[in-house]
Amino acid sequence: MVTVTANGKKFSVDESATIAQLLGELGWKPTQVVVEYNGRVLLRDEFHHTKLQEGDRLEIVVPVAGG
Amino acid sequence: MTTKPQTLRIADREFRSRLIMGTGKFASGELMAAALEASGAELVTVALRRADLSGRGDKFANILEYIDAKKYVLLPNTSGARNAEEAVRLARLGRAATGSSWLKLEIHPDPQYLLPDPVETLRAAEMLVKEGFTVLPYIHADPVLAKRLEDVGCATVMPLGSPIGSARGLETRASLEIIIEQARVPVVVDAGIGAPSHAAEAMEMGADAVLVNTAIAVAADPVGMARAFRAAVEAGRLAYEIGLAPQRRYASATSPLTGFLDDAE
Repeated sequence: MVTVTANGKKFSVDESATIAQLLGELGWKPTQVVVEYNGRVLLRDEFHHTKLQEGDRLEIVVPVAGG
Repeated sequence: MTTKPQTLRIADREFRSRLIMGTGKFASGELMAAALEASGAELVTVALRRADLSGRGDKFANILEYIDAKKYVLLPNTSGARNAEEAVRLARLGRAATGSSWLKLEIHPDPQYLLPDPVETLRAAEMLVKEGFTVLPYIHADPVLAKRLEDVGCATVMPLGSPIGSARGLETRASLEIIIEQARVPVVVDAGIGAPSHAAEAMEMGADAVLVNTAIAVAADPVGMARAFRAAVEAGRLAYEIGLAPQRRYASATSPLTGFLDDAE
């Protein structure tokens, strides 16, 4: 298992799990969210082949209503 | 002679509507969509927030499902950013989420008045223009800052009338007049517009557009209020294009001042 931080919380995921798999476990479809991965905004295509590493930091955000 | 309304040009796009609508605070996505339609707005703001990772989704998680991306230009905002670096991160996320490189740049670290930080806003604007964003910065009604933002390549300036959501109207009127006089980019009065009369006042002064959210969203009938704002913006703009009658110190009679009863011959 590796530990990553997403939106400020720690999550344990299987070794070699991808971002798409993490999103699935958290109840989100890749098309619904945008991900900043260690400071870089990912293209949606990258979710499926980006494997999580120990200590990775993710921000997973969604568009919401706002002025 | 009929005056044909001028279109609003921001960066490389033309808009018929001079009302920009925010999507916050509506009771539902459906209600927001109906108000948006009624407002006639073509530019529409959205925000970004951390996704709920607890497994319990929130009701506004899919705001984009209520906005037809073919019909509207999306303007993601950087609300929540406390400095230029956070604003740049939010801008990049917003672009990825919406596919739009148009951006409402807003940096307001103080939660009580939500007044924008001019230093961080200018710093962020410079970085974001270089990255290819079309930047529409939310600012205090500061004419000098407005020129500085124009100089670094912002597509508009968006000075506030009064604090966000305060509905107090154009408290900054004197400074707004200077910004409108000097600006070479469109001036959008953003924030504090609480009544259609405030919107009409801004347009009569020569503002190029107004951005309205709370006043529509929290109305008892948001669709009706959207229609009221649309009419006010159109009325104010038309009056500006025609030109208002000059103000005078003394009365000037509208009925003839001759031929009164009992006048001496």
